[in-house]
Amino acid sequence: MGWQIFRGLYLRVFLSMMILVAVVLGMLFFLNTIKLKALMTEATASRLHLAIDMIEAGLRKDPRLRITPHSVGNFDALAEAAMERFPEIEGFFLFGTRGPRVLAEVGHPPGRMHIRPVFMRVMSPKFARSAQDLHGTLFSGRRILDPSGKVAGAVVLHLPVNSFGPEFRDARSRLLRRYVLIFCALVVLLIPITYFQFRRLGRTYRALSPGNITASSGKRGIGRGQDTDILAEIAAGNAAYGEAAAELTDILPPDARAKDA
Amino acid sequence: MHDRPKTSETFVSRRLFGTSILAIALAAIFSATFTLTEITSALRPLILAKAQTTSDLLAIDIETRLTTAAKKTTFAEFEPVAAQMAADLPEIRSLHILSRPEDIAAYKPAPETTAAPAIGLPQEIRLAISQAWALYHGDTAGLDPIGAKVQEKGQVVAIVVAEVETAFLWDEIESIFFDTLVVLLAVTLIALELLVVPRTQRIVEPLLIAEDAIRRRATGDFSQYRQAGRKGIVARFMASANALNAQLRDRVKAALDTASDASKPARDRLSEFARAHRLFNVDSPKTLSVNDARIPLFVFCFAEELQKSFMPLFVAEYYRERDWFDIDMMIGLPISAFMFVIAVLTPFAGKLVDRYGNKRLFLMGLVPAIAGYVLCFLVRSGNDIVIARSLTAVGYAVITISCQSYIAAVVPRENRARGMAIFVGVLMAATMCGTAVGGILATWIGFKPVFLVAAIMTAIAGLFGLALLSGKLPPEKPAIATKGAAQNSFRALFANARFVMIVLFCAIPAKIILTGFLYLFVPVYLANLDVSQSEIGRIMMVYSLVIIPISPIASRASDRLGNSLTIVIIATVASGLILTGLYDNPPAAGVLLAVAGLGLAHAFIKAPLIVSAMEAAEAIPGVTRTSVLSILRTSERVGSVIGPTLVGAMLVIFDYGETAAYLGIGIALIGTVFAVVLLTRSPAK
Repeated sequence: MGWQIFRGLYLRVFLSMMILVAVVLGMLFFLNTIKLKALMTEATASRLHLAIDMIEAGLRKDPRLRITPHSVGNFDALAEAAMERFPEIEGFFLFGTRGPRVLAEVGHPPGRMHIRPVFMRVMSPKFARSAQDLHGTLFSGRRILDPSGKVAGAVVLHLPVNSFGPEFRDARSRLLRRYVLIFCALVVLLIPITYFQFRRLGRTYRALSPGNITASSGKRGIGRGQDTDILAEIAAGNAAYGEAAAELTDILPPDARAKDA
Repeated sequence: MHDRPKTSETFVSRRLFGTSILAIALAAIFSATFTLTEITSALRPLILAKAQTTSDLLAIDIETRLTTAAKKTTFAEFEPVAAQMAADLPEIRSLHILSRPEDIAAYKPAPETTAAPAIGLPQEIRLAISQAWALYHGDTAGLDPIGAKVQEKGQVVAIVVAEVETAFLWDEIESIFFDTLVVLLAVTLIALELLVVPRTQRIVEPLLIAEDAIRRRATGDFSQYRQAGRKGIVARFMASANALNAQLRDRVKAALDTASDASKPARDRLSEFARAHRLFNVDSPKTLSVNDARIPLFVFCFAEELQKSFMPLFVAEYYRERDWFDIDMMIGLPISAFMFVIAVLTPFAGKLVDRYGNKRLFLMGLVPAIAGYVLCFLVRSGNDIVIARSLTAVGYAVITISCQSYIAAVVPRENRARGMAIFVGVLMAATMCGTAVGGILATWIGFKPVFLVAAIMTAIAGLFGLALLSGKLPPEKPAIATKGAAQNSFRALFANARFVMIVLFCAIPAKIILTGFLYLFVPVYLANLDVSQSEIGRIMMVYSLVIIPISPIASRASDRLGNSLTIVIIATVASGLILTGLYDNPPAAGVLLAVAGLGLAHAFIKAPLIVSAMEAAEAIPGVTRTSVLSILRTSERVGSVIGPTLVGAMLVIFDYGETAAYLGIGIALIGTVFAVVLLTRSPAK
């Protein structure tokens, strides 16, 4: 009986608690991992923006600056210098203001399918600096202003996300270990809490022993730890059943009574 | 004894909820602490790397100038450049050049950070606790100044020192903390909706079945009771009870079969005995529950609300010059189109449910909903977004209607108000969580991937619907109102001046503010203030956060005062006046206050508005409550359609502050006019 009560009540409650905690921690881990990756992407992009600063400073020094296909003169040299200083950068490209067309590119060419979304994001006035992770490539860029303060174009750099992957994976596995620790701690904590919280229900379950249901109102000793209210109701049911059975015996036709006997 | 089932249910529900909340709270505290410590330690080296790169770049620049400059260069010339660089980089507090020999000699480089070695469980626990402790005490260890040497002819002539801005890290931690709080709140609500409620049901249900059987048995009801599962104590207990009852039933049956020649009175007595003890009655095997529809509805609505905090900004990003309207109009158009499609489809809802059934209708609704989300993922212009959102609106209308009608069908008529309260509660919880989580996700993964998340979640809602919704609902009670009666109700209600004024002066303005101000103005304005997407979501969430607890209090206050209409009018005027506070283009904190104030005002409109409409309709003979509610809801949607279009059009002409203020003045005036009209009309009229 004890095992059955444990399985039917405590284990069920406890398992539902564990599932709840596991789901909550799982969702939090999932969301926090995304957050962690976003922050690391942003921090990496923020550091690499120093390379764009170098390029922008070089472009600004050119008094003829107007970013068109014919006037990107020193971009290549500036981008190559920046790539020497920041070897993790795979390449740079330059946008003008007229649509998602690459005016100049240095290094590894970006995937063509990424050009449009990168242009949309970098030219959006909502972002002073943009950072996008598209299919394992981090694109980060900034609008370039001409001397009058108008947007003249944008410089975008790109690098494979796995260049900062090991740090992210380390941080994620440390986070995972801690979440497993939290889960284990909660399991240990919730076992006694669940038991004490549901003790009364355990008594109710004890009273629901199939042996307590009988066909007569015969006196039965009240079992240890059983809910007396429930037992009283079951006893009332047993009594009612006994009376009904007796009544049936009385009203059965004689031939049926003989057969019944 | 009579109230025992209720007591057991209350006991189990309270304990289970209490223990669940405790478990979630503990998980939340531990998780938030360890996440913050881990993210902080992951960010530290990246911030230091940026400081190192900055000082390196300046050092290289100085070295180049020292070797190439024609005349003697002093380090003081570089100080303004260093100051400007530090001012441009939020992570760097200061960047200065140490050039005096004694300063160079005294400079000690920061210790190099090494990768953490693999550690065992006890050390892991100690490390986690010490990091949490350090975080709690605001420890900024490990953020020492970073230096780069400037060399000339092989000699160190200066050191560029970058001091890291510790406040930057704390700002990041603060932002992560608030994101974590919102995520926790959302996760808790999701867990409660998806797990605790159904699990409680599963644990309580067998007990309720057993207690019901015990009570009935004590009164002489020996039916074949409903089984409480196949295994376990309660199932065996029920099987024993049913076996005994079956013995009685079989004896009677055998007697009736064999006693065919017996006298009629004996057969009558046996039949009467069987009837009195309900021996041939068999309980139906499974009862339908509100929870069948609750879970799929919650998951779907959560998915739908993910886009709410950034939709206008999404349109702004994909706007093209050849789109249908000017950008200020276009940003509101997807919201208006969404509301318009729902408004158009709602009147056909009943017919659709009758024709296809709730479950099939729910599953059918998933197709346009998912198609709309996938299309949103693929859009290339503002026009595409309007089409995609209209498609999703078809799915939204169909799914919510099927769930609402499912809930109405499974709850007894006397509990229908409770059923609808559950429906509204699910929508509110989903709105709150979805808006906030959507904002956070948009910050972390971008706008478009959020629509893929929504599509996946909608598919999950479909799986829940497939598994949980029953295709066989209890037969519909004969409809009280026929089609003709519905048309008559519509005419009669719109001939009632009071009802019309409630709709025009209160219901529609409330929805204009909700969709025009909250869904359109707030995200656009906050984005204009450079507020992050996560914060926009959090600020918008405050509306639901205020309305959920205040609404019941407002309803009780309204009942106590006994004058719902006055409360509605005051709340309408107040909601308008709140918006006038935005005239001076306040910072984000001002918008937060306005959103909270709006939530408070709308909490006082929600239930009292329905009561006022009901009171107005009481005077009209033959109009049912259902038709009043249905017509009120349909009329409100007019406001939902107008809101974003109106605010979009106003933004073309006015600046942000003026738009909010003029909208507020308009709403406040409408409320005031209503009050004046009411005061001047004699009660007889």
